[in-house]
Amino acid sequence: MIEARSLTKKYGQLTAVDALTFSVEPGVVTGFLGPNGAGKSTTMRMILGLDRPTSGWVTIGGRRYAELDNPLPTIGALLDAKWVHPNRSARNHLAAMAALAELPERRVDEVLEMVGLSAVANKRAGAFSLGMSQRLGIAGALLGDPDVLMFDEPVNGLDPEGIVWIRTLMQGLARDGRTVLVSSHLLSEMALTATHLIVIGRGALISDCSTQAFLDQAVTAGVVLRTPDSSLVLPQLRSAGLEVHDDGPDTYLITGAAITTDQVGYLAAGVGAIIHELSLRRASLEEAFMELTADAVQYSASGVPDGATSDHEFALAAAGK
Amino acid sequence: MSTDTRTEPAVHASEDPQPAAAAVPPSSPPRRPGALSVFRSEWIKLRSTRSPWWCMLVALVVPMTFGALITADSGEEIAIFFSLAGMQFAAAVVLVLAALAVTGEYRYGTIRTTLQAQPSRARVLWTKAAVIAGVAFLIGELAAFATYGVSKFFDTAGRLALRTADDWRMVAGYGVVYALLAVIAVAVGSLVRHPAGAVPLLLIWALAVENLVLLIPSVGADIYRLLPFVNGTLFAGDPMITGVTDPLSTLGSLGLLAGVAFGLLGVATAVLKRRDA
Repeated sequence: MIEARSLTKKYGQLTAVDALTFSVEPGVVTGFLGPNGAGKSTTMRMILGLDRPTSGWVTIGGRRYAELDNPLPTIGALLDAKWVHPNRSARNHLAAMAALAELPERRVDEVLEMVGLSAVANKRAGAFSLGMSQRLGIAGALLGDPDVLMFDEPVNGLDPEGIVWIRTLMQGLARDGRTVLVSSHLLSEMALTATHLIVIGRGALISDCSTQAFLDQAVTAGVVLRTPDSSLVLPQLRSAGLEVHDDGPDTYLITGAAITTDQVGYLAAGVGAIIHELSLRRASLEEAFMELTADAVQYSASGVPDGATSDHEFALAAAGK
Repeated sequence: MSTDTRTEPAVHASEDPQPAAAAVPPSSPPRRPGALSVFRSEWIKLRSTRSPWWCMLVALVVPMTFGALITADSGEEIAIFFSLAGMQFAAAVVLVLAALAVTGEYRYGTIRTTLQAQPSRARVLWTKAAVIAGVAFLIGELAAFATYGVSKFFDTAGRLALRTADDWRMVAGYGVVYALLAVIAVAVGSLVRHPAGAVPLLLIWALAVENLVLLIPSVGADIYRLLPFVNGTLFAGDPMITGVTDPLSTLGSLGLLAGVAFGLLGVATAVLKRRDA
């Protein structure tokens, strides 16, 4: 269980993490979702005690990181698969970690076996492919057999096989009753992996709900209505508090809170309008995500969030992140 | 695109032989690992990459080679201090080795893995300094005695001998000096965090800047006497050559070097505790 209260990190004028309050519960995979530069990594670094919060606090199982007697058996994390010395073997990399946590050496071989790296355990980590590096990072996270696990963008750059493997692994860890927090900027990936979603943008909390609720709320773009009787039906829809947008010849996109095709159908029937088409339009997951985080994206070109290289990231890079 | 084509390991944590139930606290609460575990970890890290071994080899071979050449080529006079001239080079190698041991952790991000496993940052830095200082001490003693031995072999006239306490200090002193140089380099490495910053800084400081101070007309010589690397040389130096004949000033040189080393390590510890990793 991870608990953050008013967690804030500022780099000078820039607020990377803005008063985040959330809990990560055991037993399910919790997705930590936000555009690049939203503050996900900074939050994870504060959870691990690597970065000091400007204000607020975060605890793991009720204790701050610095208060943990021996962190690795409590929380394991993969923040960056490249955090290995390229000339050190996978086994020695893990052995140095195991020695720090006073874990038996056989545990190193166990986790290497678990992630499928036994055959290359004595090869230098610098020669590993991205997929193998991710597996080594995951082995490091699993080393202490911890109750809480944290993965930062674990599927980035992986092939489909690797993605499925990591997804299965995380869901298995959650089924064991562990707390699993996994960050991503891809909603489509999180929709498949996570049961619960914590969504942030520009460092601030946007949503904290079940993945299903988030998708339901996010993916309905509106109801498409094609009718020759627009003069009859449109005033009726507007007076019911719905918004009408032109969407082609005799075609309108009706939007409103919790709008359904049933609702539009009843309203049209009430004025005796002929309907040629009545359908629900679903936004793509990515569109929905952009919609929800639109205000929270630091830099956007003509309204399209550009997560890849935001000012925010540059500022973070400048701050030495 | 991916090169990772091995067969699916088909292992996930539910097959973990000892799955941890989140709700159940572990039977024996984990105790905080002590300095000894940090020591073991740092030792694994130091010995598991190649560059420390290369540094050690170079730090042994170069002084021995110079010792042989200098002694064999010298005419009437040869002093221990001159036969060990190559130790100045080995000192620079020790600075590089120690600085890289710290800055390498920042360059490759492994410092975060380390601090994640051991939240006591002071313990991490001081243990790292101890491990590297220990290795530096061994390099100093090995290189100094090996160089002395080789020089003596080439000294057919039998001019080199360990007779007085000063003679012994001029050979055995290098280990102590190297250990303190390593502490300085660990501290500077931890403060600067970049190999490309820390290594040149240390080398230029040790090899150039301190000698430049002598060029300051009136106070230059006085300041020179207080500089750490100069004092390292003075401690392992020959009283007949350096002019430092008082045993107390010899020990004073060591004290000054140690003071600078541990002062810097203290500053580095305070900064490490405060800074984001």
